[in-house]
Amino acid sequence: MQDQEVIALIGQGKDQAAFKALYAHFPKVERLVRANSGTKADAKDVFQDALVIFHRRVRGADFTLTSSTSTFLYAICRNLWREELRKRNKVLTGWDAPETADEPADLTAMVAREGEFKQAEKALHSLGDKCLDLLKRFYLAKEPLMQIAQALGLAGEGAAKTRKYKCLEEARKRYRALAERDLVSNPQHA
Amino acid sequence: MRDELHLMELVDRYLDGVLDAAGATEFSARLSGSAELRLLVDDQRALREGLQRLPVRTAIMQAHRSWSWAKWGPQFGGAVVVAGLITGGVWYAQRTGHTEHEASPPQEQLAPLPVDSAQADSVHVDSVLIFGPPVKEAGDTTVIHQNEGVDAVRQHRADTILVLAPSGKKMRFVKDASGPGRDGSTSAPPDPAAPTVAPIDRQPSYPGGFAAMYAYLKANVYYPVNDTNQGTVTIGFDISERGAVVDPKVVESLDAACDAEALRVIRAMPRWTPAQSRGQWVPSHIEVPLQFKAKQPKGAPEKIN
Repeated sequence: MQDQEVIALIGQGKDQAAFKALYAHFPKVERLVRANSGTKADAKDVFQDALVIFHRRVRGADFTLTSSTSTFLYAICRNLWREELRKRNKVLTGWDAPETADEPADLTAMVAREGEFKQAEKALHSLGDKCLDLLKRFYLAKEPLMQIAQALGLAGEGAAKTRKYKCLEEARKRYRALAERDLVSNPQHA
Repeated sequence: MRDELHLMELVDRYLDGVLDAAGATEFSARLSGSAELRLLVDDQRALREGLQRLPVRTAIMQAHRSWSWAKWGPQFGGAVVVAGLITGGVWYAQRTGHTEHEASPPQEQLAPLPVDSAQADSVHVDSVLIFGPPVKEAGDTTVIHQNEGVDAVRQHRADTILVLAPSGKKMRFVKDASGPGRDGSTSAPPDPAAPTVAPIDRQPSYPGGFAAMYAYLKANVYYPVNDTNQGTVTIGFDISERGAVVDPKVVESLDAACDAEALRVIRAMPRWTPAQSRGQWVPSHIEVPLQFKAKQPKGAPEKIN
């Protein structure tokens, strides 16, 4: 499938079809990760994180394809894996991954924020079903508070708003906790 | 609390980019002056992004599975397994009565349906519907059984009809003499407020089918603490022509606590696809039994619910 077709699919919301096509690039990534102290599971995680980044990029504002998706994905994976190895305090001897010229400029920034977003996902997953359901209804389904109140058996719009605030605060608390833990074990270079 | 709620909304509006020029300028000024606010906005940005990613992850996992199948399927005799899954899937779909062509009403407006008059003739009386809530008091009631058909209902002299549904439940309906009669006779000018009897061409449905509804109820029922009663609570409720659950009432009671809990989960159900009759979305009535079995009360969760 051509790059433009995949991007069109994402634009239409046909995510699963797009990802299935993008999986054609997985073997190359798997080789990269395994050649650099990684397991098959590591490769799968790295590749899936890269797919998420790609998807969010495409859906973001002002997206233009500057390099091929293959190059893009590969570059993200390489950076993600290198970052992961650094976190695991593995010494990078004989880093075996070719770099190419046409990579997205803000790759480093993208990868840096990636860790934060993954922690946010983790924090959200650790919430109770009801909190997560409320937040998904509000932020993803964009349901009005009144409708959420009815669906969840809450007294009214005010109750829904308060509950939403409490759930967000709890999510934030857990997210902060994960971020703190990460800072302690992975001191950032000045 | 009000201040915190207000701030939460403000941050969301800022991140959505919907603040007007003045508001945006003011908020940016606040941001540059407060590290705490900057942290809050960053956290909220991360959490919102995390939420957006949840469905993306699901799609990726599904793609991974189907890619794995494509890669390894033939080697494990995948064709046999897939055939088995398809058969199972068809069987399950037929069991839950879920059809692909089910139109679901959009949020604001329900589009008119194409009229299919051929269906109207062969409706059993358990599909009898009333435009308006069933009447509780007994009038001059006559029992009609399901095999007597809608015509029998329409032509009966009684004003109030007792319909015996296949489940064994009896439901009382008031008949409007000016309803669409097969013999074409109308006694009084149609009163728009009076309930009429008309055939339902399609029963209302819960998104995903009754299996999904029971899964939803099971997941959301919190057994009353210290309650060891076992039994069934039946809740009757209307599904409005927009699919909303209206006016749930206890039809068959167990005890006060279980009744209240049953009412709560029914009330909290998401929108249904409403019943269809003659090309229109119409209100209808449903009764759902919920079984309560003696259980340990749900333990103190680490999670907020």
